[in-house]
Amino acid sequence: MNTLSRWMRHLWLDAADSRRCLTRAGLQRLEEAVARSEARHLGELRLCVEGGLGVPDLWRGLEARGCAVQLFSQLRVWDTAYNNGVLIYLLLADRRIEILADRGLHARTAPDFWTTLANRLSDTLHQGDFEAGLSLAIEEIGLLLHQHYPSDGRVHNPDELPNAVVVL
Amino acid sequence: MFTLLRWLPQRPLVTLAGLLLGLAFSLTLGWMPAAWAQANTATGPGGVLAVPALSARVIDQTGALTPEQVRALTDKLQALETQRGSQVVILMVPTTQPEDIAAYAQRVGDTWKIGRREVGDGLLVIVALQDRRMRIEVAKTLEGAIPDLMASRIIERTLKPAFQAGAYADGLSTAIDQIDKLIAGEGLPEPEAGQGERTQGFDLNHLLVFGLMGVPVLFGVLSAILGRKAGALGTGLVGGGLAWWLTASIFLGVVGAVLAILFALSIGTGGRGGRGGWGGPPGGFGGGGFGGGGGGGFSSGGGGNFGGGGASGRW
Repeated sequence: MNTLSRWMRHLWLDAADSRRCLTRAGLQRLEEAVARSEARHLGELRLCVEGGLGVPDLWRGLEARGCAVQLFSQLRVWDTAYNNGVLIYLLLADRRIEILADRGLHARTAPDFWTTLANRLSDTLHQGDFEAGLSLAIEEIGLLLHQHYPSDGRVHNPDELPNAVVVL
Repeated sequence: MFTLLRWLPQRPLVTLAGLLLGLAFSLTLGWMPAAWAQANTATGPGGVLAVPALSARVIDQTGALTPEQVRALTDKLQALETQRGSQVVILMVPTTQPEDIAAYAQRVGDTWKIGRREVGDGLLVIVALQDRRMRIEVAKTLEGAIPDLMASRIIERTLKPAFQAGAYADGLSTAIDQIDKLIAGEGLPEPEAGQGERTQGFDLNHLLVFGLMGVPVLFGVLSAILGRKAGALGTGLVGGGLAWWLTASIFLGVVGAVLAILFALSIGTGGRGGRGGWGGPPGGFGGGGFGGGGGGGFSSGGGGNFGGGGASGRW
């Protein structure tokens, strides 16, 4: 892969690009969608869109996967009562999608669920509709979480993590 | 642009630093003796340049001077000798390689033995055109009037700027005037304030300094006004334009612009987590000075007590 062009793409794209592809209103709607979804189950969802990496990460040759793992810990997606947090991470410069689910949920999920979801997300993103793609992912994961961790009848369903989309 | 740079290896920062270094070295080498390989003049024993016959006051083997200029300089030297008694000869050769110009000048002085027989007051101006080097060789008798310091001052302040501009005859003519005055005991006019070695202007050191310090500052200002991307582009435009202007090479200008943009964007991105700072590329490069050697003897036929003196320089 052309390293220099990767550097240029990453240095060029920034948080402003992430914000532009979702729009302010879109970010708002996604945040509300996460809140609605989380009201129906005991899981936690986090969305993060990053424009491009900085020099230190590029220098270390960090890929989207590594970034997602870092964010998974930094955004404390691991820190949920039932170990069922999910991180959806988009890296614009590399056009990469990473979906990371915590171990509690992962143990109950069909092996190809995440791949299928990522592919569907990929198709929508390919058409340039970031908001629709992320809404779809929120919807799908919400159904999955509702199936395994329904909040029905439970009183205690705290919002363990912020719902706002993290824009980097 | 991407395809042009496709050959770049895996580690871009190392490559960028290497690119800068390579640029620096290639420019530095450009100033060094341009002609190690081209000695197209007659060579003497041992492969060194032969001393030409002392046939005139101005001997131009390079063709850099027109016949009229040679005549004008000759007249001037003739007048100097008539007036002051000292003999001054100008010799222009393409190159003195493989010999150093000081060694060659000494041999020429030994062979020609210019200056009055009983006084030994000869002075030799040697210019090696392709080597971009010059030397003023002063016979011992004249060293009182023209110490090495003065000779090197003439080289640095008169010959060097003129030669850099390609005005060989003008430079030599002014130098003769100054030598004339020195022999007459009038001294050199003091250089104007602010004029000195700096007037050579902007070389690669300055470009690097601009790159390392100017780019962040300029980008800081521009990005505050125009935003991150437009600011980086503006910085690249200024940096590239400056590089283009200074090196007169569009290619280097484009390279400079790309480097400036990348540098600016690198400063302007926040890293997520685990930030490891990166030091800038290596610092300045020494632009070596060229020490005037204490040239050897320059004896005249009179057999008097002669030492050597003079100064060398390059442009």
